[in-house]
This record gives sequence, structure tokens and C-alpha cells, in this order.
Amino acid sequence: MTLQEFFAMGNHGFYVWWSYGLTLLVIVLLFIGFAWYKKQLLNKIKSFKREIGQKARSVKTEKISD
Amino acid sequence: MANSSMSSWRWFHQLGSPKWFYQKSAKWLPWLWAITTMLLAFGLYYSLYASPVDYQQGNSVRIMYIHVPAAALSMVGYLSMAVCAVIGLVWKMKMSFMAMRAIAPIGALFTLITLFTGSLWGLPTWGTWWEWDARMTSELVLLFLYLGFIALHSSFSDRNKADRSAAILAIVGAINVPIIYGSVKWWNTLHQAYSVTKKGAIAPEMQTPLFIMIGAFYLLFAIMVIVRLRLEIINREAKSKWLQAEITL
Repeated sequence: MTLQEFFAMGNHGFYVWWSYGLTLLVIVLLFIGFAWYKKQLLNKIKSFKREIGQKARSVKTEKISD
Repeated sequence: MANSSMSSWRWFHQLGSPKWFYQKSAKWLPWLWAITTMLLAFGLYYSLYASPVDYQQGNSVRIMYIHVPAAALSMVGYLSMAVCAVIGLVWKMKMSFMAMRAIAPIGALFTLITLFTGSLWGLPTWGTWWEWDARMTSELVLLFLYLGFIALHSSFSDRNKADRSAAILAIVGAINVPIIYGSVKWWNTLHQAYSVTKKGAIAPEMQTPLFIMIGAFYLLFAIMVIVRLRLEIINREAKSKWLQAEITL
């Protein structure tokens, strides 16, 4: 079998390769989606950690000003 | 006696702990990836190249090696989501609800793969990409059940309410799974009858690669659910000390 014959798949190349290609694509997109969601979650944690830090600092300065 | 019965249930309590799961699953994932990659390499070599061409369908039969595993996982995924829903409602186990939420998008993905590979297989084989028959319609309903579950879950600001309402939808919707499975037997459909494990119904040179691909898809499903579940744990345990120590910001 030549490489051309392999890609042609008789006359079914279109259907076979689109099936496998789209499956690969949606799986890759899922993992990209996961990575994007993880970034969002970590940003959320970062921002509320910063808030807690600011609150703690402002409590400290209030005490000093008293 | 008491000791042994306690230890036999230990796994259940461990699985119920987000911290335990988060730490352990990080060690499982590389192994799961390694085995899955190996199975996929074998499976794809056979399904795209080394397996025989069907005497009637020609090369389009190669679509079977992803269509059938994806269809199996679309149904198994929904059932496992419903089981998680029951465990969550009955034992009030929060990890179970997290797993339920994690499975939904992955089940939807496998349902989508089932539908478009089915269409791409139907075109050269049946001459049509869609028919409103029992098998195809019930599989489309499955996709809407997954999407409805996700939409319902995200429509509540109160997480407990979201979990419980979505769990009820997951359980009620499970009735669709036996309908999909039985549809080719109960109604006259364009879709062929079940033949995957039936003796003599499918040539062994096709059955072996099909089983390899089914195994690979099961593992891929497990990996996806674990990765998504870890994100769900980050989402829900964001304020706990152990998690903040675990993740590097």
C-alpha cells in the first residue's frame, strides 16, 4: 500500500479522516478548556488572598493609630 | 472483626476526602497517561491500518473504532453521573457531587463524538447523515440531558441547591440510557443491532482492535474526569489551607 492509498481509504478518506480528526480536535479543545478554567480559578484564589492580606494590614495600621 | 470491617470501608472514606484524592490523583495521572498512550498507539495502528476492510462498507468501517467506544462511554458516563448523584443525595457526600459535576462535560463530549462520527459513517453507508429514528434521537436527547444538567447546575448561586437539583435531573434522566441501549431491539431503526460482544457477529480481526480502542477510551474518560474533578476541588476548596499549600501561585 502506498501512502497515497492509505490517505485515500478507498473513496472513504473524507469520512474516516474527518471522524478521527474532529475527535482529536474536540479532545484537544477539552484540555485547552481545562487549562483556561484552571487559570481562572488560580486568579480567583490569588485575588482573595490579596484581599485577606490587605484586610490584615489595615487592621494592623488601625491598631497602631489607636 | 470491627477492625477488618472498618478497613474494608477505608477506601470509601478516602475517596470522600478531597485532600486525599487531590494528592493521590496527581500520582495516578502520569501512569494513566502512559497506559492510555500505549493503548491508543496500538489501537490506532490497527483501526486505521492493520485491520481488514469491510466487504460491504469498505474503509468507512474504520469509523467504528471510535464511534462504538465513544457511544459506550456516553452511556456509561451518564450512568456513573447518576450513581454519583444517588450517593451524594443519600450519604450527603460532597466528593460525590463534585464527581457528578466533573463527569457532565466529559459525557457530553463523548456524546458529541458519537453523534458526528455516526453522521460521517452514515453518509457513505446509509446515504444520509441523520434520521429521526429511535437510536439517533435518544442519543441526541442524551446530549441535551448532559447540557441541561450543566445549565441547571450553574443556574443556582447556592451550591447545595445546585447539587441537589442537578442530581435529581441526573437520576430522572438515567431512564434514557436503557432506551438508547434497547432502541435498536424495540423499534425498527436504521441503526444496526448490537453486535460488539456477540459471538460470530463481528470478525475477530475487527473485534480485537475494537476492544483495544474501547479500553483506551475508558482510560481517556477516567483521565478527563480526574483532571476535571481536580479543578472542581480547587473551585470548592479554594479557601482551605491545605489546598492553598498544594497549589503554587
